[in-house]
Amino acid sequence: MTVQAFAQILVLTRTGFGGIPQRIGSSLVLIGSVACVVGVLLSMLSVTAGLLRAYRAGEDPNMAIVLSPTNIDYGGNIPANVIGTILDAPGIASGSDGHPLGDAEVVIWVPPSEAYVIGSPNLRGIGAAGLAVRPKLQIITGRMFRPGLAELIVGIGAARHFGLHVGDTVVLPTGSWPIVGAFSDDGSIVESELLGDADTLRAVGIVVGFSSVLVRLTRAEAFGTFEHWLTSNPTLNVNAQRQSDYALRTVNRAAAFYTELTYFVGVIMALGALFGIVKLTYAAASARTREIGTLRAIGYQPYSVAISLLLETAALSLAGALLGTGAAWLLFNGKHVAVLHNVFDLSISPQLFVLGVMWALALALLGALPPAIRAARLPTPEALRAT
Amino acid sequence: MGSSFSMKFLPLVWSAVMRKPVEAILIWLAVTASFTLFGLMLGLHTAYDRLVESSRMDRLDVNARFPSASPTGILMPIALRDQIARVDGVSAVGSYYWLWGYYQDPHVKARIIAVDHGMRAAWSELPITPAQWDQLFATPTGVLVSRKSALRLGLKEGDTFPLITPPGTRADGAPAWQFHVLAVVPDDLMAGPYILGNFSYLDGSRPLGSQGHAMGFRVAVRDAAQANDIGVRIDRRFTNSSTPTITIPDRVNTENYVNSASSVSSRTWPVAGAGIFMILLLIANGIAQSVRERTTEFAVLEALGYRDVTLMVLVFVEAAIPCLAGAIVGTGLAAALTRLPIRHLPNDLASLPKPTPSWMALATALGCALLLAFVSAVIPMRRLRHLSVTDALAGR
Repeated sequence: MTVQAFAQILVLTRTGFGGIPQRIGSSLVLIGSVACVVGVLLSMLSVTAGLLRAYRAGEDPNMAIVLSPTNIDYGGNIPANVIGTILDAPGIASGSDGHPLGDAEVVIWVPPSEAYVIGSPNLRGIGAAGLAVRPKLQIITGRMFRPGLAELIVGIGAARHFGLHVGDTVVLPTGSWPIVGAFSDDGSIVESELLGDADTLRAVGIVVGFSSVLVRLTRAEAFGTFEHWLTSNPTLNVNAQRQSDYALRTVNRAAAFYTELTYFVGVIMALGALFGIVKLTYAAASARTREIGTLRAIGYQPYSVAISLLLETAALSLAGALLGTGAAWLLFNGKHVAVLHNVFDLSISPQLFVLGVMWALALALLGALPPAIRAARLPTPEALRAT
Repeated sequence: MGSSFSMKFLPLVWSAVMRKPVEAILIWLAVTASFTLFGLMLGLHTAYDRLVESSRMDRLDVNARFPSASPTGILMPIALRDQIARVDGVSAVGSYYWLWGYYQDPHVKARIIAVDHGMRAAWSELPITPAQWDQLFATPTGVLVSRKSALRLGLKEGDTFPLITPPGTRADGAPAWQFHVLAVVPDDLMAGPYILGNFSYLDGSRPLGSQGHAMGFRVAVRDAAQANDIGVRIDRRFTNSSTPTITIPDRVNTENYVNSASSVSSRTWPVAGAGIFMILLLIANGIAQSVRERTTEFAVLEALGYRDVTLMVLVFVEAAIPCLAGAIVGTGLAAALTRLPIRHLPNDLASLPKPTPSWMALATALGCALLLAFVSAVIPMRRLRHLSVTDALAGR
């Protein structure tokens, strides 16, 4: 593109923007329509983004998780007698006590009270290294459970959503276990759970094997060797994943349904907005037909006209995206929600913002292209005769 | 007014609407898309409401409380049935057992819900006649197949229905169960497509060690208001047994599903609202522009003796035409979309309750369209009321 063409586009865009106050109504409508599409899209996707954030809280590239072939951190599919072998794998860091930094854990669903009303959280049994692999975990009220005793602590998310508090009890096969403390863990998904001592839980027969082994590796690059050692060991039937990959997979699986629905809704809304944008840009271009004709007559290039129209629509659309993101952020960001056993905060993440902007730009491009082409193709004499 | 009004003014309104045909069609398309979304969301909302409404508070589901702690897993001794029946307030108890397998092709999965005599009363809401129940319990290998299941599996009354199950399911080691279709019965909203089988036959054919067990019990209670208390009473009775139970009313179960199925139901209204708001902006802008550009035309009409009210009605009708046309076509499209065969839907969307199109949805959409037209036309109508004919005609 020549300097001259660039200058032409600049002039045209400037006059286009200058004309916005005269077309304030239709400009606001365009902004509003895009804001509606982006707002709906982002507020629905904030569920997935929030869940992902909770799964990724305190993410550490050195963390890995070992699971049974089901790849689900639940139940007791890893036999107790292979835990020692798993912790022998190369690449696991050692704690201050010289033991490997790996924790064999159990996760089960427990109906917490006599009347099942609002669902219930998962109960996670952690072992001796459970706190060492979760450095951010903090007791907020009460105290930590004592290993060997029938005691539990509750995450602040579970406390909030399921109404479980210090002093309450949870019915387990051998009787009622008191909740002796509440904890936070940097907003992680563990905050939706009850925690207790894995060995004590297994001793009462609630579950036989283990659900997962959470390990800290010496360095992120050690994962390859670690994984290969585990999967090629014929005595083991387990999978290893980096914790970050595990988070992404789990959330994508859990939210697949929701994401599909969101895009389905988003596409229909975007179609509506698209027709609106074509109409508005078409009207804006025809209002400027004479001006465009004049500029063409004094030597302006057709594509300069088209590009300036696209730029103007893109700018308005971008403003709409900002408005929509802002509204979604104000209404939903940080709002507590519960999806099945997971309690977390909705999140309008930077990635979502970028997604919103991309949708807005795509809408602007698709919507403004037909009128822009039409304006560029208009014969100059005809344009000059326009009223 | 009436027919003389339409005869006289319709050409006037129509020429106003089609003054810029391309823009008019674009607006109508935008309105149609929004009303399609509106119709789908409304239908989804209705579907969830119906699901909750049709799930009963006076039916409870009893399952193993700690399946992972029990040597039999989710299975519970059949003896629990009579003990549950003796709990105060319980009017009937039925046992059930799900038999999973496939029919002809490993991808064509089928589930038989084996039920016992108690289900006649505990699941009395199923659309099954007393004669069909009698027939089911009199024929060990008989099954009752609901219409959708029959359609999916290609079964009809009198057919033999061999179901292949995993090894070890049958005591005799045979890979298949030979069932016979006794009748094709209506579907049930709550149960979905279903196949009912005979509990005592299934139980007796399983390996000796696993006989005498049910996956759960369905309980009917006399007073729905007592359902939660009765559930607690049942669970307390088995607290210290080898199989503690968890008893949940059907209604509570469904509400939990609806509320936590990614909270879809709570989002139907805001989404529908945002769609409507979007076209409100578009229509209001379009009509305001139209009136602004035709000020002279309105002034001429007023000079010819048209009253303010007539002019306002003209503006309102002009706004209402794309709204109503969009509402009708959009709702129709939404209804057509819900008729899409499940296989054309993405996998997970197929698990949603099907949006239920209804006349009520169409009426709501039309009401919304009229309201939209009215709100859009208010400002331009006010403008017309204060129109100075002389100024307008003079082009001032």
